[in-house]
Amino acid sequence: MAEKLPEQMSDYQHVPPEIVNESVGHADAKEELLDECESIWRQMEECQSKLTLLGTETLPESDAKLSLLMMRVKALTAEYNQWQKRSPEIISTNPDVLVALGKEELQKVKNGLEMVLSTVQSKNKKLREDLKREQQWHEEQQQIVDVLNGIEEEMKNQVVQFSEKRAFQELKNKMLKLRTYKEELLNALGEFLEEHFPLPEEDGSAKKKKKNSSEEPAVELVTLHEILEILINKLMSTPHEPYLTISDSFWPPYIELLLRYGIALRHPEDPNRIRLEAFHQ
Amino acid sequence: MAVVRPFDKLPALNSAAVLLVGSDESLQQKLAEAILKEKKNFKISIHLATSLPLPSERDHLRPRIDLIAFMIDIKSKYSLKNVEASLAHVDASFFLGKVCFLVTGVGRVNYCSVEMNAIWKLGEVYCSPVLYCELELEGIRVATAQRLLRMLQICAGHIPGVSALSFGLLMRNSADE
Amino acid sequence: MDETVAEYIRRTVLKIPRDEIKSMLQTWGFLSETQLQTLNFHQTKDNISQDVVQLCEDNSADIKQAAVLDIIYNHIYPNKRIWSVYQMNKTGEETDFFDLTDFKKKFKRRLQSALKNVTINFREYEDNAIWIRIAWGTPYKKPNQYKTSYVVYHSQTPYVFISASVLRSTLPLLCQALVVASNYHDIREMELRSHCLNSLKDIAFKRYSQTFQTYYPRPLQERNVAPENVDLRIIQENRSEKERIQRVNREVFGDGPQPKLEFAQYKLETMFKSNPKMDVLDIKEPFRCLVKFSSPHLLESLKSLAPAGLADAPLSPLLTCIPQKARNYFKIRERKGFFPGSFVSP
Repeated sequence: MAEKLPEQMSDYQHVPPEIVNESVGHADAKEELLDECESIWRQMEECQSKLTLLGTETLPESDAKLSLLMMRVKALTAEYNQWQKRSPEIISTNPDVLVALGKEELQKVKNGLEMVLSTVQSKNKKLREDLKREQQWHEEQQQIVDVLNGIEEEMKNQVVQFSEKRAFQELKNKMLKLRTYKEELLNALGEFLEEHFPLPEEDGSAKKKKKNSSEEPAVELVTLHEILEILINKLMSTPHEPYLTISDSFWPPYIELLLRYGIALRHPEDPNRIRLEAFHQ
Repeated sequence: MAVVRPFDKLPALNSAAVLLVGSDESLQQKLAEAILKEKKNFKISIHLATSLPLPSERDHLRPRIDLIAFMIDIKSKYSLKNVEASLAHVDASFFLGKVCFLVTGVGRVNYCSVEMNAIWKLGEVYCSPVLYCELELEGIRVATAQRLLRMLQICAGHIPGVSALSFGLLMRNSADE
Repeated sequence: MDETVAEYIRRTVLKIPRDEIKSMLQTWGFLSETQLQTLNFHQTKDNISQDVVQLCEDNSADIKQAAVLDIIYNHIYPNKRIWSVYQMNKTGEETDFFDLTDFKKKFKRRLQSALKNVTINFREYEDNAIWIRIAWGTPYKKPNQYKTSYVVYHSQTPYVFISASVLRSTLPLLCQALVVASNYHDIREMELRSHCLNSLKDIAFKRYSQTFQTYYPRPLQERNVAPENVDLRIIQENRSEKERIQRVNREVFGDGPQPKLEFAQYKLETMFKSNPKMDVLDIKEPFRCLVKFSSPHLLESLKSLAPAGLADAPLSPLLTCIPQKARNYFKIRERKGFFPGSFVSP
């Protein structure tokens, strides 16, 4: 029962008020509508009286959800059946009512369309403004692009020449600097070696040794400086074969010194050959 | 009459009545004013109550209640307890779409002192929608007022073809997914 | 002038808000009007304090005068301290004529005989209140001017308001001296504490408005309800309930502003009560629990709980009895019947 009410309610609420109020002639139209309203109202009162007979029912504390769901099932089924049974209502065939209803409907449509029109118009106006603004913006951007392109073109020629020359010059300078630095290093090393590792001939003790071993010096001894130079050159020029065979012109204590301090390394198989430690790797 | 019933009286022409139940009266007042400010084409009456049952000496003055909104403040445990106690005084047929839970103070979760789970469960057990809102914020207050108004129109049968029950079902399904 | 005195004056001046320094110095009256005119009050407080110290140096101030300035400051800002109310009792009915000089003499003698080093200052105010400032020392140590006790005593009442020193051990001696000096027999703490001295006085002297207004509820009710519900479409269903709450609230709290308290504390030493079948916690030991309520204005907030719909009216008598019982520290024991009634949490 309860479910029926809303639908009837809505029918009743939607009788166009205009017609009910219309006082121009059409007495029978009005009469008819009033009758219809009366009958709906009577129906409602009937429903209401049935509803009041239903007792109140509150949900049980424990299983509220279950009983509520049961109720919903019942109510939904009832509502479903109601919709199934229901046939579309036919509005009164009285021409006056139809005219009034049609007028109202048309008026509604007209109002709606007017609203749409004004909305569209204002939207159009806005779009036009937007377009104008966008166009202007685009133009400005185009101008900027043009100017920038011109500048770029101009710069290109200048920059290419300029930068090549300069880079070359810079490299040259760097090389020069490096060379002088190398020179400096070599000189310093040479001086150091000359000062601290002289040839043994100039020394008295060396002469004594020579006398002991042999009267005539077999070969001209080379300086430590020269030994190192040979070792370095050997390592740099033929890195795959850096070994140097020890000849008599090398004073043995210097060889010993080089080996002991890890400056030179012996060949793992041939004790007569040495190489420079690969410091540069 | 201790229990509020949905169909205890004949409806009045072109009108609807909503009942707000909650312990924070100033908030109720604010929401009621927001509802009144909205444009509508029917007569409305907004009934404010701190709890149910409603005092029976006013029964003859009260129109048919079309929608009950229970207000729960997440900052107050008391408000939840109050609502839970009030639910016992509502006729079961009200829960066929004519009840909703309005959870307020959602903007201040830091001060939350009720279990959100308990509120969610309330909606679940009573098969009624739970609306979350922050009534202290003007914009949300207006939006909430509009929502309630729309629900009220449906519950009062002003919308042809949609009953409170089917509308409630619609809300449920969207909420469950 | 002693360096500690200079420093004490400087710090006291620094405590005063800048636009009140001048008026407080005038109340103090130690510096002459011409001296005050030389002071520039538009500079930083630090500089003002230096200048004041310089002038005091010229007048060769001692700790007595410095202490008076401190009393003036505390009298204007009593809420910077926490005050506790004490009540003194007489056994006999003899009505003594209160003699201020005698009181001062006895009080001083009592403390000085025990401690030797102690600074005691008195200052009378027009509401019959005697303000006493005590800085405590020991026989071997100078008094500590920064850990003072304050006593406010109204000679025609048995109530004493004490803001105790952080040196807790001095309290019994202070109480003793008060009882002796004012010809009472004993003194007890009333368990009523607050920052607001005036509210404590209101409660102790029962000056706050309460229950008297309930005989004229009519005009008040109209005043309270009228501004609501201007729109006829909003209907208050619980109007009569609201009126009841308002009436009950007015009966409990009265109509005027409430005295200002910041906290209430309840120490529960009750047994845990449970269903005898559920054998839970069947212990003979009391169930200890401390419940503390705090608020910038406790009684006003309690008062507005029920009208705001946050608690049922009337509130538990445990909460509302604070002004009548004149205490905000409670101990609730089992069955000895201190306060019956259940506890309502807001």
